[in-house]
Amino acid sequence: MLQETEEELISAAQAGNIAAFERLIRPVERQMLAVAAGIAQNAEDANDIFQDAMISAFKAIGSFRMGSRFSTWLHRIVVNTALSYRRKLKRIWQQTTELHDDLEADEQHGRHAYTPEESMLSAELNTQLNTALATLTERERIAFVLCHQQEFKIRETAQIMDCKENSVKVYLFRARGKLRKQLDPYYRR
Amino acid sequence: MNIPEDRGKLEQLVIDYLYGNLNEAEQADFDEALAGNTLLQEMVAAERSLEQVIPRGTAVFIDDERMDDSHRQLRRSLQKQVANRSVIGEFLRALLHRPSLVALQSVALAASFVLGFLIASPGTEVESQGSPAAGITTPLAMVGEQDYEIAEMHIDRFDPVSGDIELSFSIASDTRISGNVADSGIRTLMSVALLDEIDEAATLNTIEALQSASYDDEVSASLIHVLNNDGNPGARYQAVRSLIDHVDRRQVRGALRTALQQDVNPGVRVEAFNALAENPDAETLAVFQQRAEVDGNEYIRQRAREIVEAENTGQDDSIFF
Repeated sequence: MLQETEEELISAAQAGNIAAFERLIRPVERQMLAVAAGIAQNAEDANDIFQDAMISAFKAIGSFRMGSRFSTWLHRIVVNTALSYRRKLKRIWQQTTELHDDLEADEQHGRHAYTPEESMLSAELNTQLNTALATLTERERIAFVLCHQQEFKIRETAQIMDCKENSVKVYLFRARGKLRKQLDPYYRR
Repeated sequence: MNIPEDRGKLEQLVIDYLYGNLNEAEQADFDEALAGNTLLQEMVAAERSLEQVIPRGTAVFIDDERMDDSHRQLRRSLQKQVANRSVIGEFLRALLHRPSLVALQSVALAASFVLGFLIASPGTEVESQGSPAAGITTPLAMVGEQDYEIAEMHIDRFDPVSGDIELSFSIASDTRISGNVADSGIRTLMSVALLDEIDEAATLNTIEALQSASYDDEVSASLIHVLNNDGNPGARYQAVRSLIDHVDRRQVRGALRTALQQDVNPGVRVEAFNALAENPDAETLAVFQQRAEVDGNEYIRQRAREIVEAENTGQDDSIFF
């Protein structure tokens, strides 16, 4: 069977071909969902971010310039969608102590943080890591998720985050410092 | 290698080292510097301790089942997306070129047609022609055969003797349109869409886009409709945020008062309250007085009480002065 090139798939997707778009994202979709999961607060949010980002990518693929790296472009959309999703939630939650209470209640009644099956980390550490990640700023968290968890190069991360490499390094250093502090008990074991 | 004295630059260098961002020569230089620099050794050791707890590459694991679910959901959304794209350009161009002639009801029908489904009931007259507005209520006349699909057809009645038949079906024709939100036709279309059953994301995006458009009664009415009726608190919140810039309008103030009294979401109520608190009129003060007693949100109760008390004090003062 003839293997389509990425360019051919992009052209077909630009013409509205869903199957081509699906084949295009197939090699990286698990990674993108993992990136969304790294940035989101829970599994449902991660899936929402992933879905919204992929729909946005499909809508915007007409503007994708051949020659750029498709996966970098796609990751940038995931990161931007995650940021806008978090800001939207934050805006809604601001000033609403009651709503926070409701959401906490929701979490107790079904919304779930990552379960042990969802992570390669131990359950306890996973919970602790989620708590620690929550102390990072958006950009620190994204830099950490991309460079540390997803092992993107600093240069690629800078492209995805649309910032300078030095900024990524600063975010990373700060993120690592905060995480070390938060996860301190684990160093002592 | 010269180890930078500047703390920030040193931190960046350590990150370069840890994340493999140095070339071979730089890496060797760094290793050499590291061997003879206790401070640097401590710094690198501290950083490496994190990697014992969270090794690099330890990402959230996405299992196959979760990925498959997500993939299926995405496929459905993409199919919906594509279904929303086929073109009935003539119809929309006609709509956009004569907005002043288009009655709201006609546009609502047209928008329903463009954005979703127009259910052609057995009694629907599809052949009528006449004024432009009437033409828009019969969009079939303006759409080529290739531009729509007939879906969900049912034979409601069929007389095999006479051959008389009644059919009901949906006509799905989805459209892509480019333009600017400043265009009154597009604004109308978007405003009417808000009155329709569009999905949550589309509602939020539409409100956000309308926020940047010039404001008119139609936009206002649609946002008020969302504020008062949408089941999604996010959409209502977006709507209230869009409306607060136009709090000087009577209808908007009325809608904000209703939201303050009835919305279950404190975020929406707080936004409505803050907008109304800028310059409360008598009707608003009456609502504040009530909210000061019963609102579930402490901020609203307290601020409402303060405003009402300040107003009462002001009125008392005016007796003396």
